[in-house]
Amino acid sequence: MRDLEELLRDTLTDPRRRIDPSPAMYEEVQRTARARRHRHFAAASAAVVVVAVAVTTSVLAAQRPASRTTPPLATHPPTPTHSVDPLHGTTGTAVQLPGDKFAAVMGATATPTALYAFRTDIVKLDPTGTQILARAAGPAGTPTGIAIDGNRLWVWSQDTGSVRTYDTATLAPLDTLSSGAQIFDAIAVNGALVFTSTEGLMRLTVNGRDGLVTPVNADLGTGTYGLALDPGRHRILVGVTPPGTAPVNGFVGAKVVALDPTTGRVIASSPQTSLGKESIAVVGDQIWIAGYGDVDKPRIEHLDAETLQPIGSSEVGSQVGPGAVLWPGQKVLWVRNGGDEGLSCVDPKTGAILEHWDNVQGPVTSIAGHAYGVQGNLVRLNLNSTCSG
Amino acid sequence: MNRADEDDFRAFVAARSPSLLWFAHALTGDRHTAEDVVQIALAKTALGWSRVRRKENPEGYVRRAIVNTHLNAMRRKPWREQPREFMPDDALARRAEEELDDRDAMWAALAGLPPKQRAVLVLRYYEDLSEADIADVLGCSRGTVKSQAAKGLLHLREIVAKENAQK
Repeated sequence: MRDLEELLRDTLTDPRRRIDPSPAMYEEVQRTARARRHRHFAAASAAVVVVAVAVTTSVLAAQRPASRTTPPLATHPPTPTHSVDPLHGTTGTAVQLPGDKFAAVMGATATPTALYAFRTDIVKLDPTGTQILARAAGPAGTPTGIAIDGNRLWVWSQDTGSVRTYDTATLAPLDTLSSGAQIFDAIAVNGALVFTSTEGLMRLTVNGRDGLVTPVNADLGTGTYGLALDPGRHRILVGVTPPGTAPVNGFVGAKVVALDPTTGRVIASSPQTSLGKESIAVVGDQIWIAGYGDVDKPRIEHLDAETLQPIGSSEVGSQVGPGAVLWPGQKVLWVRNGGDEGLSCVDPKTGAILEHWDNVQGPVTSIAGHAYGVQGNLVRLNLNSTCSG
Repeated sequence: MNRADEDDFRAFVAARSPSLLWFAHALTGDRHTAEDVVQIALAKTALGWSRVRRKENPEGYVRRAIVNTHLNAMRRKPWREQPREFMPDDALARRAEEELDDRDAMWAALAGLPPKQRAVLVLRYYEDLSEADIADVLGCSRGTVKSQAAKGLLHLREIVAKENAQK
């Protein structure tokens, strides 16, 4: 008998264990990558919805002057916690959404508390996610995201650029519009749908048969992607890759720009970050961004609410991965990381992970202590005492 | 992914996938699982290839992704359910018939290890990584690497000794 370690080495490097790749391997990898990208994209495009809800409760935001200031954190928030002491979350059942689309998309309103979700048809659910209250057909193409503004629910399709609006109470269809572009991300504000797209940051208003599309701020160029409403400060936050810096062989991160939602005037701007294909989330006074970062491990970055200067970061996964996607909850930040592909409930003040699910996909919506994610179809997230949803 | 990245990534996959598959086979002990894990790890990598390709060691990045993808998948189910090409008992039976050599017995014994112990041994004896590098890949302490390696080797030694006694 040979030395055990020598035998182990010989066994592991035994040429008989070699596997030849199939001829279609590259195509299989690309197909898997496209599916993953689509999942992340569909997820990111729904990230705005809960923020839009805040508009409802703040009377369309811009009508009230800013009164709160947020002191920047003195130190960087702690990193990571779940890899050391996992707070594994569990799931429960919810209504199974009709349709055969790849991902579910959802949003919620606080007043009245209601949950909206769709795969093919859009449905309105009770807050517990167990009863369908109303149902309507979605827009042409694959429905990608929801935004809610007052009594109007906006649903858009990324691939066709079509947009439909519905009455939030009854889901009665109101308008069928065209964005004229491929929509990346969207929010509803001041009666319009503001969206990032192949044409840049645009505004779609209900005006005539197809609606009226105008640029919000043409100076930003076409390199816009992530988008969020900051209702407490009456601003739109948009991720911008500066013109002329489109990546060719290297990675270029975005900066986050705050705009007046009415005039499109730039109010504040962050430095260029290390994140691209970003998603932006605002939870109360806290602003976070995530994306496909220039880092090994999925990471989210914390920005000062007033100045947008970076004040901290948190590694949300201990495993190597391509990045992370955010959704704002009512009181917490939801983070899906590409390392272990888990979902985390994150404290928006510190970046600490409060609860973690191993196999739940986004998008995620939480409202009034109820939270929902996706496991093939809609799934209820059981929240522990620290994750308030 | 732009055209330059795509060309580069295609070349990387063509050149390195045999080696990555071999590594994954050593890690998982199962041919089909190895193919799945490599495919998922490469798909993850494709999403960020423009930055990964600029690293000193893109293949190292992919190997880390393979390890983490596999261990993550194993965490979602009891490791005893890990699919294997044959179970240790099968190996013993086959040895009686075919006089399998020591390496086959060792391969079968490896299938009896918990996934993390196996990963530590594969990174140590297949990849020749240091304890510090293994700790970095697995996101654990060097002490954990040491203890996992010791337990894994002890486990293998017991299995091999038992089989030798039965010869």
